[in-house]
Amino acid sequence: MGTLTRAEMEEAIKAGGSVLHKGAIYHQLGQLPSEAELAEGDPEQEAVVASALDAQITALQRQRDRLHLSRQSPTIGPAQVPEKLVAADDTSGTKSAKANK
Amino acid sequence: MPAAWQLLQAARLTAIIQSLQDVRQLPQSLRFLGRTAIVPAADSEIMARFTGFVTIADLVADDQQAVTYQNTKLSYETTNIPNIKHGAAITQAMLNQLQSLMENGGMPRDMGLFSNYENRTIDGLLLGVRQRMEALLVAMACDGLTYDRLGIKMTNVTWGMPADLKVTPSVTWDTAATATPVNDIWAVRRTGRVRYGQDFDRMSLSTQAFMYMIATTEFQAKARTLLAPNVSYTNLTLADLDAQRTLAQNVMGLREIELYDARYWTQNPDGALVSTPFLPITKVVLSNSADDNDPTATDFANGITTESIVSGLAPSEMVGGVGGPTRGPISYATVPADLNPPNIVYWAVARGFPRKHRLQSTAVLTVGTFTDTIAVGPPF
Repeated sequence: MGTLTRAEMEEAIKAGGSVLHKGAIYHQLGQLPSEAELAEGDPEQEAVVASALDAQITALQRQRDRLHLSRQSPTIGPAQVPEKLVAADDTSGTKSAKANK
Repeated sequence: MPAAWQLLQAARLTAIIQSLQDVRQLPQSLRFLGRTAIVPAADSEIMARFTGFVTIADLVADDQQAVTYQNTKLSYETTNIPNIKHGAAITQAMLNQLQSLMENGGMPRDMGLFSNYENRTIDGLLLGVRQRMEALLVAMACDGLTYDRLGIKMTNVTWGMPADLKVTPSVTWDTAATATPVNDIWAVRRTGRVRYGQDFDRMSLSTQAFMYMIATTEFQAKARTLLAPNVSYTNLTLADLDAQRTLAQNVMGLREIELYDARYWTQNPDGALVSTPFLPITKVVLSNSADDNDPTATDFANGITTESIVSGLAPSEMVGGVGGPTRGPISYATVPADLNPPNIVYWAVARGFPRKHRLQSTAVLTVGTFTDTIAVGPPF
């Protein structure tokens, strides 16, 4: 099987066991080394983890930008109402109230 | 029967005997059962586990009060004892065949197969009960039991082994270049010694896991230091398991490495025979030889068989009797009272379950997900 992935390590701990990695025994999820620490020394794995982290950073940055935008315009106009909220509000009649504003 | 025909019959029966002398049925050494104390127990027995920590005494000045500490606790647990039971029916046709064989004087060199048919059947059934006891004891050593058969369903039964003694190495042992089996064992042994005061001096594993272990670069590099200067590890034969075992014991500082490959057979509802190793081949069990047959570490709670209680209360189909309440494993035979149909069923039964009193008495490593490289289906 080779080397356990972090998800497999988490699974072993959740099943009531522990993971032995580089001489240390981890039996709590919070103690487990991060993906980046686990990839250290393996260029191929490092590239995979770096790419995954970049994707996370991009997604987080998008969330951060949205937060920044909403602070600039405290009154939410129809164009800025997220689609999910509009759909959820359909039954309560809030949509028409917002649209009237 | 004409005397001239008896020779032919003998030849035919000899052939039958040879095919019935099946190596799968021969008794195996049940190692975990052999080193576990079997103790009398009652149903729904309540046990108290006493957990206490000895703390070091304080220094107290003259005329000052010392403090008291409360660091012991009692936790209660119950043991519900299941039955371990199976039977073998001797059909009407088989009974008639046996009778005709006996009338013929029996086979002189049949190794008791026919002449002691009853004893052999009962021996086989009792062995089957002991095999189930062994399987339960191994499950306790590995701290995991999953059972699903004939309506009894048990999933991930645990005996409370501490999480840091139930270890999965991050690199599996079948990865020869990067696996570190020697360091893995030393790390768990160190945890056992430092945290739990338990000195694991014996390692039990399958031959397959052992062969993966000795094939790793790490093991061979460490074993090399124990060889003569002019001998390289490549001079050694990996298949020479006895020599490799001795070498591995020295590398790992263990008193004993035992290769345990015994298997048991079960019959599926469709009649297919399936063999399963008592010790899963990816598990490595560490134990302390000083705990052998020590009931304060582990034991097998052996209850009184209900059959032996009930058989004396009222007339039953049991042949003879077992002489009152008796602990297992016992065996007996039943014959239908109205002989309809006329057959005999032999039974073997025990009532018990393994208990772990010292939770840290064993440690287990799951060293991969590999399978045995040797076929393990029915050989004949």
